[in-house]
Amino acid sequence: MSVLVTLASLRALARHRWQIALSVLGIALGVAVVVGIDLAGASSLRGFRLSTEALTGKATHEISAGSAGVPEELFAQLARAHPALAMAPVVESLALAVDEGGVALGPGRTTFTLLGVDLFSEARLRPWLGEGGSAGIWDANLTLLSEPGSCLISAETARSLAVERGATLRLRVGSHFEHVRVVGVIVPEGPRATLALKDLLLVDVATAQELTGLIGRLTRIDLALADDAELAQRISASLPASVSLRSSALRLAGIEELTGAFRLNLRALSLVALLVGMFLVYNTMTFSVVRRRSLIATLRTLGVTRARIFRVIAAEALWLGVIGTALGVWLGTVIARVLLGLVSQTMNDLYFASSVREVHLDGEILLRSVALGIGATVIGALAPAFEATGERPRLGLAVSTLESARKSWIARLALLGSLAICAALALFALPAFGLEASFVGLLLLVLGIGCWAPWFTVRCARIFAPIAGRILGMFGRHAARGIEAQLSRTSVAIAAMAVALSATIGMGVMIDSFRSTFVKWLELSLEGDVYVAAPTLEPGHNRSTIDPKWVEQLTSAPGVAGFSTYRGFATHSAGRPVQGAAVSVNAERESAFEFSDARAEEVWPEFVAGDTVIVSESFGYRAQLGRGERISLETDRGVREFLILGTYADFASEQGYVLLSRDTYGRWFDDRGVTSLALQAEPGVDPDALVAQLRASLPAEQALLVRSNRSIRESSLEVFERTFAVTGVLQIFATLTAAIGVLSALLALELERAREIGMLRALGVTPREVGRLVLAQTGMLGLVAGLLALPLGIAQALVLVLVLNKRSFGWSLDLQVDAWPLLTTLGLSVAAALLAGALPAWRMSRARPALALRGD
Amino acid sequence: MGRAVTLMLPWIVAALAAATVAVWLKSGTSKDDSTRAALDVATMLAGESGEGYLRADGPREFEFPRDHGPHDGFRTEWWYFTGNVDTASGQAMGYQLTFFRTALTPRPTARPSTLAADHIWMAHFALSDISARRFHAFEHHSREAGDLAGAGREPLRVWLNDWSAEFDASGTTILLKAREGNFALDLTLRGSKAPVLNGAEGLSRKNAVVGGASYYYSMTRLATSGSIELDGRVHAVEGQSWMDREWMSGTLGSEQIGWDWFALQLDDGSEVMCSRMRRSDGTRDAFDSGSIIDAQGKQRTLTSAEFDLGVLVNWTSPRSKLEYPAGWTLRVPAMRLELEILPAQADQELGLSFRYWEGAVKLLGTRDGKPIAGRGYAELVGYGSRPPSSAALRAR
Repeated sequence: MSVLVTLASLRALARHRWQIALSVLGIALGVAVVVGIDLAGASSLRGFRLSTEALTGKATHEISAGSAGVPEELFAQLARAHPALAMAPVVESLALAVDEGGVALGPGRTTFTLLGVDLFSEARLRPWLGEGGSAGIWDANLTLLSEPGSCLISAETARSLAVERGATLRLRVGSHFEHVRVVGVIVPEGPRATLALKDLLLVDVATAQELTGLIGRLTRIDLALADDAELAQRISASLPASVSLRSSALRLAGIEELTGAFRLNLRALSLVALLVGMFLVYNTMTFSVVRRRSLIATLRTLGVTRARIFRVIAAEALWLGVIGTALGVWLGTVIARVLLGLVSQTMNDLYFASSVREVHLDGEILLRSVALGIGATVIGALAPAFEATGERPRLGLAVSTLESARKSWIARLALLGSLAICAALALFALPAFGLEASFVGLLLLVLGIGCWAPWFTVRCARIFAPIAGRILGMFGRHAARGIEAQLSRTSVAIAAMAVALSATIGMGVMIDSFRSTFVKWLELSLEGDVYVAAPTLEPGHNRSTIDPKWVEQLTSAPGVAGFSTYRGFATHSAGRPVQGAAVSVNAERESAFEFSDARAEEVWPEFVAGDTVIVSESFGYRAQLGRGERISLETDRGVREFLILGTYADFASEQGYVLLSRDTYGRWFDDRGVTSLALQAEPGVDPDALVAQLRASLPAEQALLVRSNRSIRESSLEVFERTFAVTGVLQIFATLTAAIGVLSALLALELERAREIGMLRALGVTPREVGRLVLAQTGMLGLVAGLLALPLGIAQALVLVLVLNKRSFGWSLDLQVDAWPLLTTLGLSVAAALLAGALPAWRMSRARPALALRGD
Repeated sequence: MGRAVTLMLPWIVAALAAATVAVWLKSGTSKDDSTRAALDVATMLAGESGEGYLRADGPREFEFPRDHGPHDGFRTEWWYFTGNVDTASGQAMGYQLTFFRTALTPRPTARPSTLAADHIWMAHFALSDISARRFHAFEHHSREAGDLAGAGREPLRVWLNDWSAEFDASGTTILLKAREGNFALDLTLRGSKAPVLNGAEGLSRKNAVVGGASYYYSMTRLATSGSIELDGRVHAVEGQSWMDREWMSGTLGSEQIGWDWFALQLDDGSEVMCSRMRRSDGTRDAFDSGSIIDAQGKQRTLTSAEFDLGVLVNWTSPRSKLEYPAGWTLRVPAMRLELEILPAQADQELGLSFRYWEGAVKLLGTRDGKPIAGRGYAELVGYGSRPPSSAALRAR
């Protein structure tokens, strides 16, 4: 008997291989997108994490300071006071290897970490740094000390830059071009050394000071304090006010936290694709169960137990899940390679410098995706399996029972949907819930609206029926009624399509809203005509400074009417890293800010005079601080409290900024650097001409960026578009899955209607008319799905813009809904449906009535 | 059966996938870093010919306390303090505190960074806890920059982190300070004899190579008092110390693989310094030399032919498995001096980045037929290593 059941199962699967193939493909696509996004995100972060860990070595703590750096004498003092402690001075910067024209060398414009170390101190912290079995490395280590501008690179770097020992490299370090000589090529021993040396230019600490201009200063002092909290306390207490001791792990944790929202967003979007895949499985399994209702009923009357039938159906689903997931994981690794570039680029643009070129097949992610894929399939199949086994065998023989049972469910399903929607709204409205809750809310919202699909379908079908009747006559009316008559399957197909399409709308509207807000902000905040900046290789914040000599020359150049300065710096507030900026304020700059909780005239006078700051919206959101509250900042004179005067809109960085006036900064910090200048052109002076003139006035060894307002705006938008490129790819996949869903759903529907069509043909309906009937019905299905996708999509967009962006990045966006993308989606929906209906229509119209009537 | 397989297969596939993933995860972990191979002192002296550096190639006028300070332009220079001390209860201890200074380049350039260094320093600190038969050795390295290590003239002082030797204005009193964890010394050394110029008026030839010599003087008897901390216990100590000062730019000869060196303080108030170059072929080196200083401080130079040093017994280090001589006979026929030199304890091997044996020794013998005793320090360098050539270094 069991053989019989299995055979029946296999036969059924074999008969509907197209259905099965589409289901498998649906699952595969869903899983693939999840795997692809996760792998790409994790790989780009992993590269950064591993190299950071390798470079942190045995250090547990670091002593660091503001932009001015740590005084180098402190290292000798500490070394004398704690001779037993492993500690090392570090001067670190990012550098770009460039050719004589200043163009970056190496694959993917590799950003190098210029690491200045004291090799004697490193033996106890990072013993693997200077090691490697290559010839001459011992001499090279000493040459590093004695020869100015000498560096060590790994064999891999040497290969990628096509240089050998003895070669000279031209580097862009901060705003300068410098030369270094490769005095040794290290062949790393072991994976840690390989990671540590990846994209590393190892130089002596003195050389690093000279290359970066940080004379007399260190970026940080690394220490290995183990778990000695008491010692950490003692060292911390002995430090001057301008520096502080903190855990090395914080640096890494900061990055993980920083990119967390970005990665979570990507993952959530990728789950939408899987959700569509799940609908597909549900659809296919429902279909296959419905097809076999009479067979199942027969088997049941023959004494086959419910449990057995349930198991067979579950096994079918499991097989689909396993095959689909396996295919999906493989496809996902392929997609990950495509996405890696995009994700890495975004991470590079926004968060940190990394150059990850390989996808790391993270076991945990693969395992999770496998579980997700198989789990989703099985869950998708559970309901149909219960349905098939839950009924009394006699009833199962009657085809219409399911439909009549389904109808009584419409109201209950709608009620369930309403509950889900209410729960979702609660998750969005209550501030106690965080980002993760918002994603759960989004899921609930989508499912909730999806639950309304049967009700919506019935309404639509009833509205369409007379209209279709008027246009297409009897067949039109018949087509519309058919949708209602087969509600159990049509509504699932419609829901699947609508969910897939709505994801497209949601993302599209979100991006449009973001773009329009961003452009508005750019126009407001770019107050200068010409900008001069020291180029930075550190994403998100500019720390390189412009030589004071050039500041003087540029601001007094002919054609320059006024200027304001900007200095980005890093500090800490209550132990957490904070991006700060010191700005000089003039009338133009004042107009570049828009406050959400204060009036400009209340802010500016106090901003210049007192110990006050203004904070960007995302910073304020993260820190839960606003006008009238105080923030403590670590300054060169110790920790100080500053009054927050207002919160301004800003999209330059998602971690947000704390802004001080130049005067306030000067009172509390020793640093006098300027990272960028905004210059106002005199009336009648063409900004582009001014740019050219200023560029010509700078010497060749200066790598300063002189750009017009327009060119900055253009490149900002470029970064913006790059950031959303990943979302674009996801959108394509969601649409693709949607199309497959539509195809699968319609194929299933129309094939099932073979008997009905046969009847029609036998009654004298022409093949042409049958084709038209099928197309009319699929077109209507597409229209219904498209219509349902509109509210669903807009609801998603609302959630993305108003809830998720706020909770992820602290940004307020103005919702921007254009009619065009909505109409496009509707059109796409109908078109896809018609396309998907074409094959069944063609087959139906050619079906021989006698054969079709004979049925299964 | 067929059914079972049909139903089980997906789970088996899933389990296999999980197992494969687990293997991936495991393969990502790394093994610990390999330990760095130890070098030896002879290696430091070998290497390039010292071209461009000043050379010890002729007589020079020594001037104290000025010459206690650093001599720029030479490649290598060291300040070597050793001594035998006792606690009030008679517990014997030996100590060594050494500062090595090595130039990185013969032609230093002025650089903007104050951390840029032309010299690097290495310091060794060892304590022989003779009654407990324990030996403790530590080392530090640093660049001569940013106050990390260096040699100063006002006051006359050499230091590396918190280890230091400081001379008073007259150059006769020296303060030594060193601490590593629970081991420390804080000693005051007072010289009663004038510095002794070894070799030919302070020019000590090591081999036939031009410039293969050093400027070398010693303070052979320094009354010592202060404290030594052993494993957290502080002991007040008194005894005698010896200071060796040498600077040079030369290298060992190609046949020279190391040396044995002795600084012996006899209880009749005299001292003997002698060193024996060890040749790879085992023959006697013509450049062996020594000094004998009488109780009044009068010095007599010993040539290779004037003394004879024989090995009595060998000792194998349990850690490095290297074999060192561990007992000698020293005969100076012209002085009617016969001494047996024995380590105060066998294990005084410094297993640092340079591996050598340096330790307290005790002496017994006769002079003019009368019994004589004493204490001293011995240094055994270049054991168990191949002749250090620059070719071997480059191959590293």
